[in-house]
Amino acid sequence: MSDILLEIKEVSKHFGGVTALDKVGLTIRKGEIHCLVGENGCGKSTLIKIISGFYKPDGGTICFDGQEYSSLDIKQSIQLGIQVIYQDMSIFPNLTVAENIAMNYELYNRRKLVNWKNVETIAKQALAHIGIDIPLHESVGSLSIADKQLIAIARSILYNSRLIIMDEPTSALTRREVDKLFKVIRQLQKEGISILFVSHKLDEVFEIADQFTVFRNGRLIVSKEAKNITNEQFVFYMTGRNIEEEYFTADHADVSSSLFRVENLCLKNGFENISFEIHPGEILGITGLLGSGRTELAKTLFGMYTADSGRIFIEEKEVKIKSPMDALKLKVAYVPEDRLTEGLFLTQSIENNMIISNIDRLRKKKGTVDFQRGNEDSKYWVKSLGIKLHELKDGIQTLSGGNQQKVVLGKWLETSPKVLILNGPTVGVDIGAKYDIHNYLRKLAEEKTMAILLISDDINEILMNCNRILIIKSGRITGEYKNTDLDSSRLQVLITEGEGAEAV
Amino acid sequence: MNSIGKYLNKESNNARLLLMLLITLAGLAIATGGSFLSVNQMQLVAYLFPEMGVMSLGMMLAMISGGIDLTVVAVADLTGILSCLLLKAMMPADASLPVQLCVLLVILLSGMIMGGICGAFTGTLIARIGIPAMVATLGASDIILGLAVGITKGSSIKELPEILNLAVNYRIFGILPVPTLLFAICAGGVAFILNKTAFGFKIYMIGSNKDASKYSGVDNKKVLTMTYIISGMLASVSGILMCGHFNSARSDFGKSYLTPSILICVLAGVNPNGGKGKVSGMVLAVIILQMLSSGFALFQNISDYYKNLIWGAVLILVMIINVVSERRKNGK
Amino acid sequence: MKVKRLLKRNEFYVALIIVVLSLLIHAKSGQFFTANNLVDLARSLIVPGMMASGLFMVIASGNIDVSFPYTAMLCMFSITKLFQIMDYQGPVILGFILAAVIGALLGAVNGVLAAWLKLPTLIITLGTCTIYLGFTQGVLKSSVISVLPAPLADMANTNLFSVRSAATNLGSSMHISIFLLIATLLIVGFIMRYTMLGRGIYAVGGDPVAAERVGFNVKAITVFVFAFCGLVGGVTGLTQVTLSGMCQINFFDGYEMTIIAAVVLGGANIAGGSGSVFGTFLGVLLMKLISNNLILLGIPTEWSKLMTGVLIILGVCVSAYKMVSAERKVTSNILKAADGEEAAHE
Repeated sequence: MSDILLEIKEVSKHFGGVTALDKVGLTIRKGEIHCLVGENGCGKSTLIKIISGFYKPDGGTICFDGQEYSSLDIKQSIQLGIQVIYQDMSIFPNLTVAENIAMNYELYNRRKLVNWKNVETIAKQALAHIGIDIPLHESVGSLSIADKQLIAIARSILYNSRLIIMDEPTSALTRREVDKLFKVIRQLQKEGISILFVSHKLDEVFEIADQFTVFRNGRLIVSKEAKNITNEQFVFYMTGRNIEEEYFTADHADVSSSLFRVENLCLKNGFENISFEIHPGEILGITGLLGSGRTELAKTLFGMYTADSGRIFIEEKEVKIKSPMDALKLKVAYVPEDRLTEGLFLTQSIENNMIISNIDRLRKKKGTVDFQRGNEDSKYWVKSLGIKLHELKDGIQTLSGGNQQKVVLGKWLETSPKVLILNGPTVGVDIGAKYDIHNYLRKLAEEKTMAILLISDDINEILMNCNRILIIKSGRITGEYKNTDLDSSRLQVLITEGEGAEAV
Repeated sequence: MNSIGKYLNKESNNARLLLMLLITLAGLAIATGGSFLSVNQMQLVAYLFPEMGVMSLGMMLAMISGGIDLTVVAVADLTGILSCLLLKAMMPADASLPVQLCVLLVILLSGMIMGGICGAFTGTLIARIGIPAMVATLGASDIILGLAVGITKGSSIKELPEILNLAVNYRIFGILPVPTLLFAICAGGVAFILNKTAFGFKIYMIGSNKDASKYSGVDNKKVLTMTYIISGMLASVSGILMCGHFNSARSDFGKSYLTPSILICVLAGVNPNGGKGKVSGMVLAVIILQMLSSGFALFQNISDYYKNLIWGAVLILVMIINVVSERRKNGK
Repeated sequence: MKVKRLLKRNEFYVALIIVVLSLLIHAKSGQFFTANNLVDLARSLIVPGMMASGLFMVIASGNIDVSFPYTAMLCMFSITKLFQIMDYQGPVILGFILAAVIGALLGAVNGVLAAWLKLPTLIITLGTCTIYLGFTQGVLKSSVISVLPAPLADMANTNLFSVRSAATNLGSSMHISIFLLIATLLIVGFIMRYTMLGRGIYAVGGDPVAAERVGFNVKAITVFVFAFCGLVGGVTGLTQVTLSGMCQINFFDGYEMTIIAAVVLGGANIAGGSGSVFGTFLGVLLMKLISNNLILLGIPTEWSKLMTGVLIILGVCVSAYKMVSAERKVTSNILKAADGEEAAHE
């Protein structure tokens, strides 16, 4: 018997004209913790979906425990002992904790009937197995993200799993929770279960992985032991570039005047006493874990939530932002976190996506819309942001993630905003477009007319592009730092542990 | 020639509809030995389709915005009844023709206002309270129709002033029926709204992603409420036409119009999931359906009941064709 | 703890309203808690109760069906006609089996189209229901059958017991088909609560993508719920025949709306994933309670349609309003999590 559990050979997958995976390979041994790394959009998720049977590959073979398959289906994959914990966790908010946990077990055993006592025992055991305590009869919809994550893990280790795939399981967890998770993972390893751990955080790879594999733009770049690899090498594998971005310093920032100021902003359950100020020439960064309140803060500044107390000033004038319509009128722009659901109109043309926020200003005297001018405006942003497209009338879906994001950015820049809030602006964006966007933001900052607030969990993005960084944890700002005083590992620690960690 | 090809390629749905229209025409012409193509017959078609067409325009707006408006029938019935009651009450006994026409115009306008109020009610339920369009319009439709039934106690309102029936049957210059003109005006208005105004643009955008539109600074609540108000106004025009046509008003006149009005939208290429649809496709779809319908009327041996069967079958068939062709296009 | 959970349940409030309303009606008319009125009420629950439990499954799976009254109508006429033509004299159960099969097939058509086309199921079932209606009217040429074939007529005359109220001297009989209602409720309740299929229906209604990922066959579940709703519809059609002793084309006029309203009133979210058969039954009870007793409450019958509309809107307003205001609020408590963690530190 060989000790290889899963071997992917020359697997390819295309979506329309886009190649998501180009003849990639991956080998996982029994009882191994294997990290799959790569930037967003590199093909990681596609490969996971092929292993779990959600997609059929266009070519190549999947070899599991000595048996060769050209493709798997979902049931087959589960029967083989492959379990996936997706990033969105795929749990059912309308069902109870116990049922969510026991569901996989029952499906796996092809139960036809539900024994509620059994469900409870199974759930209790599973939670005990990973050492956590969550009320069994709670409906999952009301739990925190970390709890949901733990439920998803508890669910997947219930029965004879051979391979557990975790898609970025740590993105919402505090350091303590990550430690707990790693303990669980090591225990699973001892039981002979293989783990495929998907991540883009270097320190995690160093800490937990035996072996790692890097994907870039749908291709396999490297696969080797996790020991003896340096940070620089790693970044090179991931990005394919050696060029380091320079720190943005905002030397000529005009500290005496203020473009945007927030004083003691509070939102019930969301955040408390948030205060900051953005000067001309600056890019202010806010970072924190998922569920730290960073997104709630961004949404409040854009009027999606209404703050309970606190004051907001634009160019020293106090404003009230109670809805996105107010924000638009006050020239506050927001590039949202989730491009696909909040940013784009997927069934519409590129041009329509570009002009929507500006549509009321494209009015002719007779009250009709000047689509001609909208077209010219769109062309201007296509040119200055370097959006690669065939025709403006094409569907937005024909564009790559990076170009789509540039369209969202262009849409907002066309409204000539005074405050530009970007929430995770380069998630799922290829490296080239990422640098384009960063450079454009720096250029905007130098014009000194727009307050730029960059919210992100991409540590390098924040570090390189924001001259000042605020760290938000559990709804409170725990520190303010100059980017030049930090490096990425220090920032990482600050984010997960807050201020107290420095002393440790 | 090249530009025609380009047009057909871009507007593949309209191209398909044109083809269907020609086939329907040819089929009916052959089946009737040519008599279907007579001027008389064409005028009958032109006379009948507007009621359904105007109603479908409202349905189309709701569907483009990502919802559906099941109240159109109820609104048409209620406003028809109220307008008829109003007409009877307002019309002076021996009024001259101009006065009568003025009264009629007032009735039409007041009917539209009533339709608009119904629409505002539905729109508020959907946009502000956040009830899914289907349930909201289902419930609102019961309320509106319930009012109609309650007011009439289920019986019909008869002995209307003649002018309504005369006006609906009048042909301008002896050719163009008044209802057709009304349909043309309504279709033109809706086309203008959808293609030329910011409001229309926003309807499409809300229909394709209502979260993204909110994040783009669009006032979803206002736009959606307005959409249902316009839909209600169109339904009321249709209701008044119906009353003129039957020369009476009843709370169940519109009943048989619901499925055809959705069918017309689907046939016209309006995406039931929102974001897509054109007035031009709509006009073609209305004409095709009405031709089919009056074509059936020519065959004595096809009972009226089969119409239902055929409407349903065509609706399902068109949905299948649309989905298959869409998937093939995406598969390329 | 138990009380708290009870207070969270929608069923509790519906039941509460029912109790209050019954007392109110009784106080006003003195006729509510009389034997014959209660038997009449139970009798009037049979058909809508059965239909609602079938539809509840569809709604729990995140779909909607408006075709079941037409399925019922088609089965009602086709089987009565068939019995007439065959001059059938055997046991009546054959008719119910046939009705179940035809109903299930018609429902399966909806299900297959819904699973495959992925378009709003309202429009799909609106299309199929028009076909079923056209078929009944056109092909079967049916509008009324007043003399039933013997097996059906026999069943129509089978009552469990009769009661007579001393005060009003009005009599009522409990029809045998109440067993069909009880059976349907029990079966649906069992499926939804104690089978993986039922849990799958909730799962699909909660999140179809997640359901597919954990290994539920979403398409099969979709086909099943529609087929089952059709099956119940078919059986209900024949039940109605035996209840009223005749067939009439307008038996189920407007039922699609009323039944949807009842299910929604009973606490099922129209977007799917929630509700219970018990709640559904309470929803039907509430609807019937109101529509049967409008006169006792002093409301003329022609306003009953208006009342159902108001009920639907009120029923969904509450849950919709909760959802919308939840959207405007941060629900998971970020700040509290911090406090908890600090406490853990100490």
